[in-house]
Amino acid sequence: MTQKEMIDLKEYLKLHYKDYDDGVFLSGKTGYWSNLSEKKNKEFYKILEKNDCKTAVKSFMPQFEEMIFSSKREAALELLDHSKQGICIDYGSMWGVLSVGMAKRGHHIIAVDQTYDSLKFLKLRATEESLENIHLVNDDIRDVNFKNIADYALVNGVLEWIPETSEVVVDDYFKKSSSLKKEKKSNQILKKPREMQISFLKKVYESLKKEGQLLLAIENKLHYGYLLGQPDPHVNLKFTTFLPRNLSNIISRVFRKKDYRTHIYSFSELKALLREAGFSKIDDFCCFPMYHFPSLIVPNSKEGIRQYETYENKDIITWKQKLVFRYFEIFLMKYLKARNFCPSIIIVATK
Amino acid sequence: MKYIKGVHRHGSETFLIISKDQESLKTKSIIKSATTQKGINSITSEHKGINWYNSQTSKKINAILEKQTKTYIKIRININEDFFNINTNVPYLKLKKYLDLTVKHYIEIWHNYKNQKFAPFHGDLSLVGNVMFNNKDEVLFVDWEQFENNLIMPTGLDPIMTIIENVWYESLRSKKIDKNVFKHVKKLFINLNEAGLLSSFLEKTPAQTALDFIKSNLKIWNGQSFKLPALKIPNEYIKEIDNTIAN
Repeated sequence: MTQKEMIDLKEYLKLHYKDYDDGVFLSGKTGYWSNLSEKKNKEFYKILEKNDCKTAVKSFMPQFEEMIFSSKREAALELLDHSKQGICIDYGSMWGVLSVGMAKRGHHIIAVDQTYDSLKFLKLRATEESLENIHLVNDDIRDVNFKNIADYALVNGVLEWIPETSEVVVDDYFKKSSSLKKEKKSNQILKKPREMQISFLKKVYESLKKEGQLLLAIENKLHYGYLLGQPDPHVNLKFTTFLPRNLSNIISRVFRKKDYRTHIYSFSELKALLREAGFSKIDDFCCFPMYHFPSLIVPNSKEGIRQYETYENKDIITWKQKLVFRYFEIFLMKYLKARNFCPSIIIVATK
Repeated sequence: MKYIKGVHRHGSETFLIISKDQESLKTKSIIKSATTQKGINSITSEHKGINWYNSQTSKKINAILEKQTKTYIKIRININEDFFNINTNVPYLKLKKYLDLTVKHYIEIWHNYKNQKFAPFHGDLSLVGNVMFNNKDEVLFVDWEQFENNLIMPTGLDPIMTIIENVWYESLRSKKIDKNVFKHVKKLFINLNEAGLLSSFLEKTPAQTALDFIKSNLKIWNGQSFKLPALKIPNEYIKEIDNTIAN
C-alpha cells in the first residue's frame, strides 16, 4: 500500500466518522466489553502515564501480560496470504494483539472496538512499537458500515458476544446475574442470537473486497471438554454450549437470571452461518489447545487430523489435566480421528 | 494442504507451517515466520546458515526468504524430496552407519577449517530431525536456526555433540553401555582428528571440554539450550567417553 492509499484510508474513515479525538475516530456510541472494570481501567491509565505499556501491564495486571503481548496468539494469521499489503479490519480488537500482528506483517489496520479505553491502550502500544499503520475506531461492531474496503477481516473470539448487548466486564460476567448492571436493551426485544450473528457476518462480508479473507476464531460447541463437564467459558455454566438452545436458556435463566445468548457452534453449523452471510469458499481448521493460545492448527479433514500430534501446553500441570487434556485428547484425535470434537474452530472464508 | 505444526516451540518465538501435497501428503515445504525480535533473529540465523552450507556443498537446500521487514520475516524451505529422517529410536549400534555418514559429511563441508581452532557452528546437528539421508547415502544438514558464524566455537564441536547425544540415548535404553559403542565413538573421534577437524581445544578430554564450551556459550541457543541432549548426559558417561579416547 502506498503512502497515498494510506492517506485515502484515513480520508475514508473521516467520511464515516465526523469526530476524531486523540487518534481515535468516534462514532458517539458508548459500550463496554473489557477484562477490566471502568474503575480499574482508570487506575491502569494512571500507571500508563508514567510507564511504557509492557511495564504498566506487568505491574498492574500481570495475569494479562501474555494475553496482550504474546505473539503466540497471532499464529492463525499465518493461514492468511501476506504476500501483498492490504487493509485489515479487526472487529472487536480489544487491546489489539491481532491488530499489532497484522500491522507487523505490513498491512493497514482498522481496529474497531466499542471500549474506548482498550483503543487508547492500543494507540499507546502502536506508538511505542512505531506501528503507524493502525487506525482506531470507537464504534459498536454490530453497526459499522464499511463497504468493499478490506482485504482481510478478523473476528477473533467475537462472534459469540454479538448477541450479548449488556456491558461486560469478563470476570464479573462470570459471577452470574448480580453484575449485569447495564443492559442496553431488554432481551425480550432483541433479535435471536443467530439472527444477530448472521446480520453481523453480513456486514463483515460487505466490508471485504472480492477475494478478501475473513479469519474467524471461536470455541467449538462440541469440544470434548464441554461434553465432559467443563463449563461454558462465556457464562460459566456446564453443558449449555451443546444442549438444545431452549434447555440452555432455561438453565441460564435459573442460574443467571437471564437468557443464554453467547451462542457458539459446531463446524457444520458455523459454516452454514457463514454461507448464509454470503461466503462461498470456507476453509475450516481444528485448533488445539484453544484459539487464544494455539499450538497446533490442522485442517478439519481426514487428511488434516492425521497431522495431529502432541504439543507443548504449559497449562497442563495436574495429573487430572494430563488425563483429560492430554491423554484423552490424544486418544480422541490421534486414534479415533474425532476432529468434530476438537477444542476450537478457526475459519478462513473468502468473499 | 497447509497447517500450523508449531507455535513458539521450545521457546523459539517462531511459527512453523507445513505445506503438504494434497494427494500424496508428502511434505513439500517448511515455512517459518516470526514477528518478535527473538524469532526474527532465529530465522535470520537459519537463512545465513543455509547460505553458508549451500556455498560448501553440491546438494543444496532450496530456501526462499519470502518476506523480510523490521517486524516480520518468513522463510520457505522446499524439501529435498529424496531425503528422509531416520528412526533414531533404535540401539546405538544400529545407528553406526548414520553416525559415520554424519561425521564424513561434516568433514566434507568443513574442510576449509582444517587445523583451525574455531569454525562455523551448526548448533544442533541431531540425528533426530536435523540430519537427513537418502538412498545413495548422501547427507543433508538442515535446521540452521542456531547457526553461529563468528568463529567462537571449536572446530569439531558439532559432531561431538551428535556423538554425546547418541551415547546419552543409549544410556537411557540400557543400564550398561556395550563396549562396542565406545569403540565406535573412539573411531569417530579418530576420523575427525585425522581430518584435522578436531580443534586443539578438544584434543584432551574432548567430551568434557565440549560441554564446557556449550555451557559458556548458551546464548547461541537463544533460550532453547534446555532442549540440548548433550547437557542432560550424566557425568559418568562423559568421563567414560574421554577415558576411551585417551586410552
